[in-house]
Formats: sequence, structure tokens, C-alpha cells
Amino acid sequence: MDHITRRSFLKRGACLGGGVLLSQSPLSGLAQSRLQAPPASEMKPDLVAVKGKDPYVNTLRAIQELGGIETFMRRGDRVGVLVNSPFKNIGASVNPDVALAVIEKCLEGGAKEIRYLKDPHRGYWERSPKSGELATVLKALKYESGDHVKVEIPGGLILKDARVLKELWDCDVFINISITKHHQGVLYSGALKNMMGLCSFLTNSYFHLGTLKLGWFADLDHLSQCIADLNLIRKPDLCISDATTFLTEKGPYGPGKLAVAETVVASTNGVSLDAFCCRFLGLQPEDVLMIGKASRHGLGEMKHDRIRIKSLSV
Amino acid sequence: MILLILLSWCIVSFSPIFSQAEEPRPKESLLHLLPLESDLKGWKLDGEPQTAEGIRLFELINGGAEEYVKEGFSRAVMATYRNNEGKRINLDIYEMLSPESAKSIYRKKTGEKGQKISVGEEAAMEDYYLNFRKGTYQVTLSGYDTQRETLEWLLRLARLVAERISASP
Repeated sequence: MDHITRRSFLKRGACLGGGVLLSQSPLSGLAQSRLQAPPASEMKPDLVAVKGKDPYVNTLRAIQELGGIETFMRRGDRVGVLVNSPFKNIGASVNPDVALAVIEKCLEGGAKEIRYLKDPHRGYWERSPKSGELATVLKALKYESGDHVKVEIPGGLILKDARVLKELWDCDVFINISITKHHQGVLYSGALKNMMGLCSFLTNSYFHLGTLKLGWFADLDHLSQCIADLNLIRKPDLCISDATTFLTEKGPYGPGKLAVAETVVASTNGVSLDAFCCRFLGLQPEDVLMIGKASRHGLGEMKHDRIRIKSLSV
Repeated sequence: MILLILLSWCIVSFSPIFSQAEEPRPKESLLHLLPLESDLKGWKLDGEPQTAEGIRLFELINGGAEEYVKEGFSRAVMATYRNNEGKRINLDIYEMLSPESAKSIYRKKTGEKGQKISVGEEAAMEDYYLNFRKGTYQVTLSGYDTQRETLEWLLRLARLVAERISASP
């Protein structure tokens, strides 16, 4: 199959600012210089970016570089994975090979149960050439019940409560797997935004329409603050973002122009992850309101000179 | 919070209707707009088509629904077709509240660089997807690659849908 490749899209001029390759990004020099410092090299990085042709291999390597799956889970744990996969258009959902790699590692690590916290679109797994050989992995998944429970958010500035998927609270370990992509409202969608996948229809409607302002994404400050507040309910143990092939316009649903950066990014912190990944879309962390708001909640560091970053190619 | 949501739902959902003072139309299923498998050599529906009305579009396409709802969305049907080789094409048909709404959302869905093609009242092909509009409808078809065969089927499916759409709202 002639899948859309980096080459074909570059030829068509389809790669806009999002076609930023890691090696050319402003972060690459920073990452390398930090890794050259002897004390830092002995410590595990806070964020890893792995570039390579195979998203599955990239993901496995990223987890390994953060210390291996055993850093995040123990044998017998219940693991919840929130994968941004409800959108059928290419570049709008996480590459299924990225999700498969995480799920396989969790099973290898002795997960008692893996809960898929937001149902994927129909045919999602069949998009992966690995879905056949990993059929036993897929059979181990338990999908969402659709039952939501009310959660109080005392620290929320706008969002004081939310209806959130019940199973989130049954999980010992929570893994957030997002795709780096464009969003027509908040400009960028990643780990922080992915948390909306846990919420009920009514809660998400409040995010979008709650201030009664009409117009084209009329109240972005409200939406961004709601997302930041929502992230107070539970910090993920591991965050992974797929920046292999992604929408650079008409997100979150698409279809639209695509960029190919062949990179998977992993971190223990969603704020740092988003602050790093928004640069694939040519954005600075300060351009994305929810990142600053989440950082001000104390949810994570958005300044990259304060975290250990490791970038590598496989 | 729930009161706020319900109020905003009413305002967003009904304000275009009030402003345009349209006569309510009888609701006929949109499923009849989907091309028949008998017209598509080697292609079949991949699962049951999905439908949504009003603000429920958020349940199908999440944040992608915002632009439709605010432009005056009525309802939608979405289907995926699959051929014998496992290739898939997605078809989304959106019925808007007026031809103006359909035109407006079409403008947002298409880029300037798209190749103009002859389908419906206005259409453009871009990379791996196609958008067109006709009457109160805006339609998007998308594939997963840029093969010539895929693009030809996008066009063929689009023309079949356009034939099934009545010219008048």
C-alpha cells in the first residue's frame, strides 16, 4: 500500500511548520548540550524523544529510556490507557502501533488487567500491520463501560466538578497516550487535551459552550482553563505522544494537511510533554493557553531548561 | 453547570433556525444518500453507518463538531467503505440548516490549494481527501493514501452521493 510518506507530503508542500524535524528543532541543541553534562547523563531523563521509521520501535525505546515499564507499574497492577483514537482520519488518532507497543509492554510487565479508557474508532486496530501478530494483546483489552462518576475538583478555577469515566479510579496505573496535532480552537492537542476523552458528553459540552458565548471557539480562555482544571483529577504515571504523522490544520478531526516527524515522545509529565511537542506545530508553549494554565496549577514544568531531555534516533 | 449547558445548547442549536425562519422539513433518513454496494464494484460498507443530530455530533467527532454546530448543523451520516484489499474510504455527509451554512462550512473545510473538480455545486480534491457541497449538504470523503486508485474512488463515490442529493433543500 502506498501509505502517505514524509517524502510524498514534502513533495506536495504539505508539511507546514509542523514538519519540523527534531534534529532541526530549537530543542535539539538544548537536549544535546544537557546530555553532555556528566551529572545529567547518570540520571534518567524526564522526557525522551525517539525518532525513527517504525512507531512501534520508537515507542519501545522511549519507554526503555525512561527506565522501562517496571518504573511505572508492578506485577498484578490494573493499568488504564487513555489513547486518543476515536477519529478515523489519518493524523487525527494515535498510530495504533504506538498504542500496541505500550499495551504489549504492560502485559510483559505483568499487568493484571488493561482498561482501554476511550473506545477507538471502528477499524482502528486493523490500520496496524502488527494487529494480526499481536491479536492476543488486543484480546486482553477491556473497553470502557460508558459509566461516569462525579468528581469534585477543589483546586479548579472554573471547573469545580466533572463527570469522569468510572474505570479511571479502578486503575493502579494511568497511561496517557496522545497524538501531537493541530486543534482549530486551542491550536494544539496533546496530553492535556486528551484528558477530555475521560469525560461525559455533558461535561465536555460545558467546556465548549459553558459561557454561552457564541461564535467560532468563542471562549478559548474558558476551554483552556477547563482543560487545565480537569488535569487536576489525576496525573498520569506515564505520558506518550505520537508525533509520527499528524494534522497540521483542520484538527482535531481532519482531514487536513499532514506533517511527518517520525518521532515518539515520552515523559512522566503531561505539561512538559505538551510544551515540547507543540513545537512540532511551530508553536511555543506560551502560545497554547492550556499549557501555561496547567503549569500554574503546579502540574508540571513548561520551561525546558529545567528538565532533562534526551533525543535520539533509532 | 447543567443549566448552563442546556441553555447554551438551546441557543446554539436553535438560533440559526430562528434567524432564518425556515419551515420545518419532514425528517427523512439520510441513509438513502449513501451509495449502494451494487454501484461500487468490490467495495462494501464496513460496519453500520453512524448518524447524529444537532449537538450530538460531538459524540461522533468530538471537538470537530464545534465548527459545524456553530455554522448551523442539522444532522449527519457517516460511513466507511472497504474493498477486497482492505483499503478504506470514509464518507461523512453533513446536512446543514441552509445552503449558506453548507457553503460556509465548505469554505472552512477546503483549502486554497485544492484541485477544483466537478462534483455538486463546488468541490475540491486535496492530497488524500475530497470535499464538496450541494444544496444544504457538505460532504467529505477521505482515504488513507494518495494512490491514484484511491483518489479515483473518492471521486466516484462523491459523484454517486451528489446524484442522490436533491438539488433543492
